[in-house]
Amino acid sequence: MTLTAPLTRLRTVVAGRGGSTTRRGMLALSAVLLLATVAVFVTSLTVFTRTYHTADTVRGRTVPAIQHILAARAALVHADQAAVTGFHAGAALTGVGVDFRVQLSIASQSLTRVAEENMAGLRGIHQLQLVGGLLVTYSGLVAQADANLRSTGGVLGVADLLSASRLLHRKDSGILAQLDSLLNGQRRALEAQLAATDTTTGTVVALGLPMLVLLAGLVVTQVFFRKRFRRRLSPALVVAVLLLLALSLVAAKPIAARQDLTEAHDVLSGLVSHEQERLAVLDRAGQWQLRELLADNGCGNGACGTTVAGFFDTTTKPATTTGVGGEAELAGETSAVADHVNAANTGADLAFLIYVLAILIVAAVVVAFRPRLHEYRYRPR
Amino acid sequence: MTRLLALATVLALTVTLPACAAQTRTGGTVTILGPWTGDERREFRAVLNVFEHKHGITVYYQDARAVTQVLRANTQAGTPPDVAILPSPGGLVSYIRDKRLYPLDDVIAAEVRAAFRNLWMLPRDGHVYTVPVKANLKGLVWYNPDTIGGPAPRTWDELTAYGDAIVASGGTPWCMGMGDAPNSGWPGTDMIEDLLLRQAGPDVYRGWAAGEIPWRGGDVERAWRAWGAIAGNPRFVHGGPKAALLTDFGDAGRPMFDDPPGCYLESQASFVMSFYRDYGTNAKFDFVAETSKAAWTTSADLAAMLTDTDEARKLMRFLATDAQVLWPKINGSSAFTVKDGVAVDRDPVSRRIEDILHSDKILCFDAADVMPARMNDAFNRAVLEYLNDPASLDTVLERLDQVRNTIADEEWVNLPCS
Repeated sequence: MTLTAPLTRLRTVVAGRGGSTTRRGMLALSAVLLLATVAVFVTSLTVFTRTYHTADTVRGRTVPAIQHILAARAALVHADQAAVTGFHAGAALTGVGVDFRVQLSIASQSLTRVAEENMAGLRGIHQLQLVGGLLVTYSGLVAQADANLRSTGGVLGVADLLSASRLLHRKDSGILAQLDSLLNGQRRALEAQLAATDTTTGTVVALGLPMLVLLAGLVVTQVFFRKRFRRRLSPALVVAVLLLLALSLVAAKPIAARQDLTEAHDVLSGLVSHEQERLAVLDRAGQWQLRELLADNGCGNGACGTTVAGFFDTTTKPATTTGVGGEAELAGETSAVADHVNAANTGADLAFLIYVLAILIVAAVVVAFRPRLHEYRYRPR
Repeated sequence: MTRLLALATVLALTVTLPACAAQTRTGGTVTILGPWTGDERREFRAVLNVFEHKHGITVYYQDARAVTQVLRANTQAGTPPDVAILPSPGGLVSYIRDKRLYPLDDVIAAEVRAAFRNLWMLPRDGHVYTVPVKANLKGLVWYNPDTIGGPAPRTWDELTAYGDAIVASGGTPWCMGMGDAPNSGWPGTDMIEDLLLRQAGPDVYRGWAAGEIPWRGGDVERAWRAWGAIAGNPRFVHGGPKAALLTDFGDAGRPMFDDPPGCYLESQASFVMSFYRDYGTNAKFDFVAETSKAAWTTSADLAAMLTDTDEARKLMRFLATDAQVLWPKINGSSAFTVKDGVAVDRDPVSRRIEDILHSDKILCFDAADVMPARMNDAFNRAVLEYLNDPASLDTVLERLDQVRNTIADEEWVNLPCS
């Protein structure tokens, strides 16, 4: 049997040559149409639910997790700067100040939110536990510095503050480094989510092919009816075609949603990059203030040992902040991410239409075939 | 037609039902919290990779220098790791009391346990609770053979004379750094412990670590004053007490390798070798061979089990057996095992350290690590307060006694030297 045999057979059925094949032809065509409808329904629903589930997760968890980590990081940089400023300004009266405590509270609350939204699995959970423990240690060190500067004076309070700052800034194992690692984990999770809903050629073919088969089947059936039953146009089949077009519009919505997710990801990447730059500038300013505090306590020219000398060498005087986006720009980018993510979720509630339209297509096919099949059942053979 | 419809419906429902792909996971996971960062972290990770490969169990290693504090916070939050590695037997006693640590009697085979001295396994109420993953020899006085300027001192008296000679020539003999947030001060506690052990012997040392001996007056105060004569004197310490306060312990030895040297001697544990190697110089280092020293202070990173799972048990067994050989064998590692019968090819300096750890010398666990966590913290803090104001020793010791007197008897650990 050659590959063209089925097509030849189909032509015979449609044309009605070679004996009475009308009933068999109708059954064959109705089977093709129903199976094609099932295929359209399954592929459309699968792509639809997968894409919108991802869009919902990205909106509800992944993007907020990333944003809350950035918020925690920003709060800690501000807290560190506030602590140093408080000491520089005369901690005997004010201590570290309200600003430090507020920023620390913001950091803690942000991390609590990250714990709820974490998309980096078990590793993310462990990192959060570690950061939580380190944060307790950090605030204890600052409190100790505070107590010392208010009571005993001397360099011990400054030493405590330096210890706290080093716990925050230590490369690889410091609190900020741990937050960066946590951030990267969430970003990798986002990349994986987007990759899983990628509208590759395969997806487009998987969606489009059953639709094309169904459309072709409806057209062939229309021609079959005209030739065998002298019916110019079957209204039910026309309705089926229109329903298929409507279903294809609904089924295509995930493609637009995926595009919105990609744009959200791109804006978010830019936001992360700008925020990290902004925080790096703020952090340099805070570290320079700490340097000045140490210098005020007689630590210039290597007078306070190797660690402080190394800190002096690596701390650079901050330039002005022009050219780096401020908080207004951050708000704008955050809003743009939200817009894209919300757009990606628009239409998520239309899944029911796939069910409805598929059922209506089946109903239209049944309505189209039933009278013909019924008519043919009683025709003398 | 009807049959076709039915078939189509069944097909559609079957395919759209959520696919419950059974996730088969072989081996499980285990979390371990430890103090090692940087190079030590990389070495330990290499050891854990062998475990993962052997058992098919994924190990999540969390590192935190503030390991005691992080463990406390996570345990209180109800999210403890499966295994924790702490340097402090005293810090683990409260977990034993609260039944958060599992005894290892039926986890580690008897013949394996027998290969470790008792002091490493935290014996308590007839059970043992810890495995020493790696140990350190403390109270070593390091020097740079290229700058020592003659034969190295061999006794404490010779060291003292050497220090005086350096001062007389305008130099400062001692390198010192107390910084190690949040446990800053421990290098000072190490020196005080070593001085007490030298001056008063193992039994007084044990009694002091067990809370039986006061801080003020007597042997303990004498050890403090001996240490203060060095640490509190700007002529004896590189940069003076202020620099010692503000210098991290890992940076303290750097001036020993400068030209000209900023200092010539550093009292530090065996793990400092990995820091010296990281300084990026080709300078040699060695420690004073005090052959007459009968008792040495030591420390160990002790692994304890907080959840009783099959994976945690396997990891503990691995740490007590394979890990004892794997880690010391890593090139450039300063890890030492205290398990009997383990022989590793080492450089000459490391071999001498190993010989002491496996000799019949008396080994005493670091006293501050044996003390309850509150006493340990207070001891660390007292060192810093003293350096901030060397005239405050009486007040500092009084406060230490106040802390000692508020700690319940059952929190102290009586860990004889062995």
